[in-house]
Amino acid sequence: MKRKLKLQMQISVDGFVSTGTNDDQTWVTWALEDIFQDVWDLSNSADTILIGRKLAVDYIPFWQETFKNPNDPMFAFANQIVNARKIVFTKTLEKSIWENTEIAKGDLVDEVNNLKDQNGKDIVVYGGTSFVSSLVENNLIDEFYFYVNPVVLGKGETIFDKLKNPIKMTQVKSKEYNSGINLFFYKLKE
Amino acid sequence: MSRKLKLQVQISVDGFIAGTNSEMDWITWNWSEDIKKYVSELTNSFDTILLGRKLAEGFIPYWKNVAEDKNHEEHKSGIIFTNTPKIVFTKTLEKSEWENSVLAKGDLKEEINKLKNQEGKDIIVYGGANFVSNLIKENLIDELHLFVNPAVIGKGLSIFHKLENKKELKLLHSQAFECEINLLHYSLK
Repeated sequence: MKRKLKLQMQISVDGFVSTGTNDDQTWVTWALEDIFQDVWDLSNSADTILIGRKLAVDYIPFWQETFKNPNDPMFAFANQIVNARKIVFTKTLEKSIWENTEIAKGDLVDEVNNLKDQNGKDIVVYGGTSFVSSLVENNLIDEFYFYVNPVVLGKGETIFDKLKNPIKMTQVKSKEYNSGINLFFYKLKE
Repeated sequence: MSRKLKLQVQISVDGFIAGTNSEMDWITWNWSEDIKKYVSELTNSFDTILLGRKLAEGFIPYWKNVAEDKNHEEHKSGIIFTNTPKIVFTKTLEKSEWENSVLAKGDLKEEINKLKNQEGKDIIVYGGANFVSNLIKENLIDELHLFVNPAVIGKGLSIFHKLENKKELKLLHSQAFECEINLLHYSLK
């Protein structure tokens, strides 16, 4: 029984995950109290986080800082993320400059399948856009958790632009939150 | 209180309403009873159908044939779509070649606002992509009834790409149908 790779992302109704390079994410409905339990459960189901290099340089220091302040509302997440095994995918970095973090420089498909074959809880990925689109292109994601925000962006970045053929999915669950967010939980059709 | 303009459309998780060459093979056509009921109630709420010229050329003859075929499983829908007054938006056609259909050739905004101010039930639009994207750009649609199919298609026809700025929506209702299509029902204003 292989470990699963799970993607969780905020997405607009028109399918974008970012407005572009300087995305301030003001389009995201930040109703953490609303989605907290589901985000927490997903995070808890994994012990390994995959991160693209571009996101890692902001993401890892951000959570390290948050972890210094036990009163921060995000402290529990920070604790989890800082202590999780993190794998940063990069072609440029020579070695990891962060704690609990390894570098993966090999072929994406080989590296991810190798991780899936190891023992442990599941694997989770939150971004960034370009890295996730490579995972999608190579059919490596087993479960998709999309938080659909009540907004259309018109243009932006997508994780599906590298797809050559449509992917049909099986819906596991969908859920509406008070804040107007919808969770769509799909898995790849077998 | 003016009539509302509602959009009902099939959409992929990545926001396309058809493939680049209008492919629809990613759409779930095997509808469960709950979505049929939803569509039937929505259909009862309008008495006017707006169509872009390109869609009209397929839509109107198709449903006319279904209406004439008593054994067709969608016979009832065929009758409704054939008998409901239709407004076809065009810059090229000179006169309507279809029953129960009139042409609108004027400024999009003026034509729609004129229709909204008339008496009657609401107004529905199903497509096509280009026509709907103009309606969205001009802020003329009041409600979205999006049927999100469990598929991503990577590229295709969008209805939101003409928006200059992001647009906040208000979720009115959502529903997970048994056939794995999700309804997202939003208001735009």
